[in-house]
Amino acid sequence: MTAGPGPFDQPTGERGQAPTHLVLRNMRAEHSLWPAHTPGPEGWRVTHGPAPYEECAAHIEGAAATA
Amino acid sequence: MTALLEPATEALPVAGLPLTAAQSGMWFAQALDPQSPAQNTAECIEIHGPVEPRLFARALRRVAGEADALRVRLAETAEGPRQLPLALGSDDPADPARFPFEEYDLRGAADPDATARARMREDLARPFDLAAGPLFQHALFRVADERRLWFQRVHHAVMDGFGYSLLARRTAEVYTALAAGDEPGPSPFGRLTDLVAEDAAYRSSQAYETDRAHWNAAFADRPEAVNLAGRTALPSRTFHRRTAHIGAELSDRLKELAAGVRATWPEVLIAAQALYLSRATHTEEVVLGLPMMGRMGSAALRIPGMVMNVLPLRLTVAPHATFAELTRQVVLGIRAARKHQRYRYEEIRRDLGLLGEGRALVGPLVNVMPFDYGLTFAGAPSTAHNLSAGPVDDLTVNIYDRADGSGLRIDHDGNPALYKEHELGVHQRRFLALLARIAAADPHEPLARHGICTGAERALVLDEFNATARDVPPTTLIGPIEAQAARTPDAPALVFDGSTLTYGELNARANRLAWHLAELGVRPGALAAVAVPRSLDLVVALLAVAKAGGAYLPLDPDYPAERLAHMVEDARPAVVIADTAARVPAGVGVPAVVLQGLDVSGELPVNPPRALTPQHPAYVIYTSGSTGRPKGVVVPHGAIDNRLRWMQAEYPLGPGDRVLQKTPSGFDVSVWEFFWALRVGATIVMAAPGGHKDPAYLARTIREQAVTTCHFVPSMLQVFLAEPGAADCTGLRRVFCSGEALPRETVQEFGRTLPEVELHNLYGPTEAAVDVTYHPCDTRPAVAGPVPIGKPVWNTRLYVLDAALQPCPPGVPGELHLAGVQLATAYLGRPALTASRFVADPYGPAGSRMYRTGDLARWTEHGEIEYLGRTDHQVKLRGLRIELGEIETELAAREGITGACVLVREDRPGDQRLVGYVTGPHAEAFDADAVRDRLAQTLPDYMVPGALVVLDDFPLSPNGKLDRKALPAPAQAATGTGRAPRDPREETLTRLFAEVLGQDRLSVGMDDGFFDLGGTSLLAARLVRRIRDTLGADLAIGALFQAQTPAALAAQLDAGLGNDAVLRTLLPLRTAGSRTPLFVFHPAGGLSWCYSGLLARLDPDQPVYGLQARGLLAEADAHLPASMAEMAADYVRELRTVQPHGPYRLLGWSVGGVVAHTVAVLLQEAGEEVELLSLLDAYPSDQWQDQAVPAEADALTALLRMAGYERTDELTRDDVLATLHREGSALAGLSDTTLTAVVDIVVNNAHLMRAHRHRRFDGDVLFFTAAAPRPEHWLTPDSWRPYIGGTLTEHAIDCLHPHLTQAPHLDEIVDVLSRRLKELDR
Repeated sequence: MTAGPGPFDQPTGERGQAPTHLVLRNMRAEHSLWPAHTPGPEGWRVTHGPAPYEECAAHIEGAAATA
Repeated sequence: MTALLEPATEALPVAGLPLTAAQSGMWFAQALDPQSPAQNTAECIEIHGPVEPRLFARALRRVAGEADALRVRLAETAEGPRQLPLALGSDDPADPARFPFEEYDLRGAADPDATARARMREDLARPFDLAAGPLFQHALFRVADERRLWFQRVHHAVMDGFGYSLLARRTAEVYTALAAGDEPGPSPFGRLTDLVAEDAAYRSSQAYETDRAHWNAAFADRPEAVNLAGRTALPSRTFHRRTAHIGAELSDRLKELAAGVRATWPEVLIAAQALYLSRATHTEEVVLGLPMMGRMGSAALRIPGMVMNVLPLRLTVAPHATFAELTRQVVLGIRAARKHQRYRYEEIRRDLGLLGEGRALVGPLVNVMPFDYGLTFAGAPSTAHNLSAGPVDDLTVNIYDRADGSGLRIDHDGNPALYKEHELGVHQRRFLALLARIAAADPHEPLARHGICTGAERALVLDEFNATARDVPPTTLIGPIEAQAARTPDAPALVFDGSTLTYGELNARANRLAWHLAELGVRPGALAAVAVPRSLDLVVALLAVAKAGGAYLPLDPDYPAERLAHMVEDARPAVVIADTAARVPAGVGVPAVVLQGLDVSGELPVNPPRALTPQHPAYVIYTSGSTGRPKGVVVPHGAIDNRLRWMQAEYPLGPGDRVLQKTPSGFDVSVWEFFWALRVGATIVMAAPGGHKDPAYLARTIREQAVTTCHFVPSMLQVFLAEPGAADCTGLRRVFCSGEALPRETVQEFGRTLPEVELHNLYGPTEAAVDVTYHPCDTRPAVAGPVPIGKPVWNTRLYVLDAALQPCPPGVPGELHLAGVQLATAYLGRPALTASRFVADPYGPAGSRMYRTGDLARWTEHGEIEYLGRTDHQVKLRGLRIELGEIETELAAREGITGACVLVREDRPGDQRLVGYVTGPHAEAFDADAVRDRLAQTLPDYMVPGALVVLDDFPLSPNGKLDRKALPAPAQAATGTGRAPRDPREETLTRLFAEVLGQDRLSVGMDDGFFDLGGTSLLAARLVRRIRDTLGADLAIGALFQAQTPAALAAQLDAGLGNDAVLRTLLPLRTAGSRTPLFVFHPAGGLSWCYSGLLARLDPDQPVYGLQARGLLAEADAHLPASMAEMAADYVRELRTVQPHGPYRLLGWSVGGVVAHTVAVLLQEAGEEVELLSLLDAYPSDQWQDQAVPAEADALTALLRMAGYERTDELTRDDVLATLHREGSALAGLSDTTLTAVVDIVVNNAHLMRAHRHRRFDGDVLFFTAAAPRPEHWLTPDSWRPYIGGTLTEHAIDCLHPHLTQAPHLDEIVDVLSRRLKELDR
């Protein structure tokens, strides 16, 4: 089996810099990275993105630092 | 009558024609299995209306006369296989060349259609004889007055699907003309000669070279072609077929969809199949096989024959791409393939080197036939049905358009060796449901919208399999323990090293410490690190932290200091609790609580108050991190409380139960070992630090401590089951396994060893409170197949999801995701990492999360999960979770190393080990040991690669990725100086190293590291066992990690046993075992090594000690005894240090027998019982008194015999020593001083023997006689009678005196001896 990068991994190649991900947040202020190609599940709202993977990760670190 | 084919056409050349490339493939396949009907193709055309059979037969003959390809046979000639002309004409049934046409009227049959189908099947199962021909067969079945079935079967080597359509059309045309009384028009067919010529021209053309270059470039990286079965098989002679129909409405929608994305409906169906295959195999890139007409020029389009080809279509199915984009890939891919479609499938495989490997070039075939003949026979309409489209290697999806507007027909044909009929049905149902959803969806939405489950399967895997909701009270890890302590304060709670704490004592001690911790800031939400080795204090400390409301952070004392310091710096606990000040990580600036010397007697012994909720963290455990630093997993009380409540409900534990605590606190299995028993009134038995690695210790502890419940990582369970003491652990009620895949063989071995004990397989990551699935193992031998990890525990949901986060149906692999109350809160201080692993749950309550495990798994039909492997580079080695990236980061940080890669190799079956590859350093200058020592400062020992290999460059695959499969196996060559062993023990050690490592003895030097030679800890366990059995040294496996070379190990043994232990008076041959020890007495030479053969033969639980002569060591106070009595008294003192009082068991060979008898008498006179005295061909002193005392020459003979040689021409001591050295004997390693002493001892013993006066032993003697004829014919056991009070039982062994302690004679002796020992044991 040669699965590509999973939906929560940083894409390889050019897509690594493409707006592939979202940042979601729930009522408990927990964050979830999320693939932009799929709508976020109920109970979560988009707080950032679509944006490149690393930008989303940085956003979550930043949100945690200011929380 | 001779009916000529009408009209007679020009015959083929008499010498025939060569085969085309397409034909060659089919010819070869048939030649491989001449009796196989697999190359048969067949179809049935149903004609609705009147048919005149005589005219129909005439039409068939005429068409056969026009189609050259039907009038050949294929035979091997001097120039290779050729198609030779075949005369066909006679209707005479006896004529072998008669025209192959049968006519049946089945109107009288009960079910004419069924009868016809059965006849067709029979015919289809008949192989053609290629060399004889004819290679086709016709039949016409009348199944109703106005309905006939025209069946034709043709060998695939002469006809393809397109050829069939040409033949059928021409047959309808000719019949229609004949029926109207007209002369049919001229044959529209081209000539076979032209087809062959065209093929030859192509193969020498520029186009051929261009095509070859195209395919070689397109598949240069040799992509793995996955299939739905997950494995390949040889072609079978038959195939399974499942047929389904797509109604007009859906097929119309699909055609509209196709038009909307500028494609044809076959292209849409191919895209849908690619999507299905990708999701069903958890693979982003798929390769489909497309049968193609292969006819490029107009000439070939008019020639019925075998031209078709199968070409690979490579597609990437990414969840973010849309269906329109995927279809576009198909359109472009087919367009490119079509341009190069004459280049043969077999040739592409050959060019890519796939033939030899037996690897597939393509996965399933999608065979779309967008044509229906829509033929009429003199006005009677017809419908065509394909019966066989040729051999099915894997799976072929045949899709036919039905010209009558009734939709599409889909056949799933499968190789029976790979697919059961119902499995084909399952794939077909899912595929049709997927087609329906695709048709209903916007083609410009991402493919992620689509999953491959049917509606029913989706409900099954998401809801039914996960119906685990269970109400549990909102308690914490500690609450139920305090309640239990109040209920049963006097019950034993904890046992360690001979001490026991009651619930009351444990609770009070933990309370006092808890009050103290609370004063230091340990409270709900705060952390307290615990750096205490396994002991009563460890449990007290863990409870105290929980009682104060804090979460504990275990600091495993076996971890490198640097790693522990990092954990403390990362977690910033309020305090570090350690047993000693030395254990507190240096320089971290956290207050320490040192238990040694800590006085908390002033604190209250009552439970402290705390505002603890189930959401507060209970513990933080660090696991390996892929980016190079370990990460702390924060587990809340509610999660672990649910886990323990479930465990108690599933495996009720009560006051009689004793749980073994052996897992290091840094691994989360230890959490239930520490806390479960204490919540329900059972007792924890704590193993000694390090004991968890020693199977003999564990077996002993389980037995002696009456353990009922314990845990093993599967690989350790294997080691444990190989331990002889394991079978005696019958007090066990249940054993839990987790941590890595549990092999079926281990389960069966468990069943053989401990048939009455339950075995449970559990699974879970630290991120979900220890375990989330469970499976009771059936340990009976008849049960086969993989061992599932099982069903979800309470309040836990499992999802197997594909790359688009869609649920996978049962049987389909995907990534396992976990949801429910057991999820950890977060990775400590790592919000982005947390958000990428604990993600929004699309299938759970609003706003809930799921944890993605990175484990590849699938559902069984019964709702259990099977573990399949990892989706990433995390590995489990003997149950220990390792991120290879963490090791690679550490390696790459070393000076001079420019690149690093680590992987787990299994170069010997069942023997997995870590190997590191680095680039940068010069191979000669690279100091692997130095690098490994450095790694060991930051990584736990199980993460330090056993071997490091320097490469000039990493091997890359054609697409530029690291080709892990191409990394070389590390050289197994000796790395040390090759120093040879110096003494018998060293020789034994190197021999055992070699044996266990599967290497030649000479390849192991004294300074070669066990792990450098390819050793693993599994092999280490084996080695330690062998050392224990052979040398009798009670060595812990851990010793091998500190002392990896035979030399170092020998030193370790010395440290344990004293210097030159093998020459000491008391030689502990085997110290382990619970039985009464057996003492064996040296023969004339003074050494007891000759008894080592007993060890492998006696019960492993039988300790054996040898008594050896004083004077072997050059000790200052050593002197040779002056009398046998003095010697015996000395030995009595020695053996009493092992066993102070009787009953005693004694055995002696030769002089040793006399010594043993004397010792027995002394012991009895001292009031002790001697229950066994066994003499091996020993005779009392009075039998020798008349014999001359042996000279030095005789002593030398004896010495050589001890080494296993007969003396020939050695005259002096030096001669004897030279022989011993030359022959590589173990004795040669003895110092000259010792060898000299041996000679002296032989002579002295001869004197003592003759001078001795026997007293009487009041007991029985078990006697073994060397019964072969010998010069000293007067020797008889009866000479003992005066000195024995009981009976003497004699066993004659057919050998000479010197051979008694060698195989096979020793087998006979031990046989008798073992029975006697067993009787005594009762």
